[in-house]
Amino acid sequence: MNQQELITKLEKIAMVEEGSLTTDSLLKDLKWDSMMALEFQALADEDLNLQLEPTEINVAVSVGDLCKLVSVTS
Amino acid sequence: MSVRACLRAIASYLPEGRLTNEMIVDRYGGEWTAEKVFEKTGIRSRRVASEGEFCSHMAVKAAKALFAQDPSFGSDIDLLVLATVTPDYLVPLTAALIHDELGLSRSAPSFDVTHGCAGYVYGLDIVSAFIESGRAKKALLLTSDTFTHCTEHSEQSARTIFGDGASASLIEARDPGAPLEQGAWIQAAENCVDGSGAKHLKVATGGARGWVGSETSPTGQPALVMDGAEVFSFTMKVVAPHIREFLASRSLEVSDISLFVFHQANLFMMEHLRKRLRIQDEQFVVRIEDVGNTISTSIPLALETALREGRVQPGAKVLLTGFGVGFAWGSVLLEYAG
Repeated sequence: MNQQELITKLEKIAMVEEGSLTTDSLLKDLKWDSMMALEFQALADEDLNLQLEPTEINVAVSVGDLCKLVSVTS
Repeated sequence: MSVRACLRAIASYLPEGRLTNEMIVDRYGGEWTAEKVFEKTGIRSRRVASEGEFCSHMAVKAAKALFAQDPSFGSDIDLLVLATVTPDYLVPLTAALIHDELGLSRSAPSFDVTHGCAGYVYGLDIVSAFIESGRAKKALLLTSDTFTHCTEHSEQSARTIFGDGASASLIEARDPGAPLEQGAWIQAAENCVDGSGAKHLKVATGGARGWVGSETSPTGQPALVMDGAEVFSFTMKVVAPHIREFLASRSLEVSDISLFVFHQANLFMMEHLRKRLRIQDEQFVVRIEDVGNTISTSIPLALETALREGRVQPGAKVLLTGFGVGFAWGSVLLEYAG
């Protein structure tokens, strides 16, 4: 999965318009909540075979931080 | 063992009020659409208790629906267990209110269990123990939650997940040597807790810590505070292995189980768990689209649906698994008559 594909999936998780997110987008502006964090963790597990620790996800503040967590770059 | 516990019958009650995805989208606006909410959660609509309708009211209605199945069901109840995290009051126990409303015998012990989404499996385990010890012959296990009273003040996503509902199950003592005409033997039960997870799924207000102000929710109103990443981690790292070990310790494999009835948390988490355990679609019961996550009622409601749809064949082994607040989790293995 490349970065754009991941961002598209994050747009679906956050229920925002496709194409509206960039790596600079802040999670607080998306009203990122616990259910979205859960979905992101599930995505990492299923699509990337990555088992993220909750502490890693909970310190992320931007879409870019989430991309780095799963080592997905442009 | 001189007697064994049999899950004889189940009934449910769903309140009339509905909270649809369209109503949620109207309320919160933004870029949410009804279809996006459905794609995320697998839920289109949830039931909502009416004004003045609380846990005890819904539980009594479920019990009466059960008694309506057979006139003998409501007589000689000698144990009442209520699973709820939305009691009418903190004091007194809601089981006492229900006990009075149903006119049960004073010698029928009655109590609440507060294990949330694991409430039904904990309840079945407790009832089985009473029955197999000889202390009860005919038990009523009720589940009832009006969690929408709480999600009203919770984060937006929580509003999309939870719905209200109640169930009533009749569990009887039966001679293990006699054939079972109706219902299922409660073959095995195993329930667990890891209290280090308690902080990750909490409603801080309403208890003593909230009374003295030492701990409140972010809004000051009763609200669910959840660490979604911790809950997911718990589900995959603890619940999935628990299910594998539960089956393995009984020399069973996934393929030996006719139906898996899990707590109906939300569709994508259930699907994730299903795939992790390599459970086939036809073995998996889902009842969430029109009711949402009904906390302790989710398992009996899904099981009742499977029974009504004819998915439970004679002799079927059915595994119920609940997990959630506490963290508490557990499984019960049923074997149906036939």
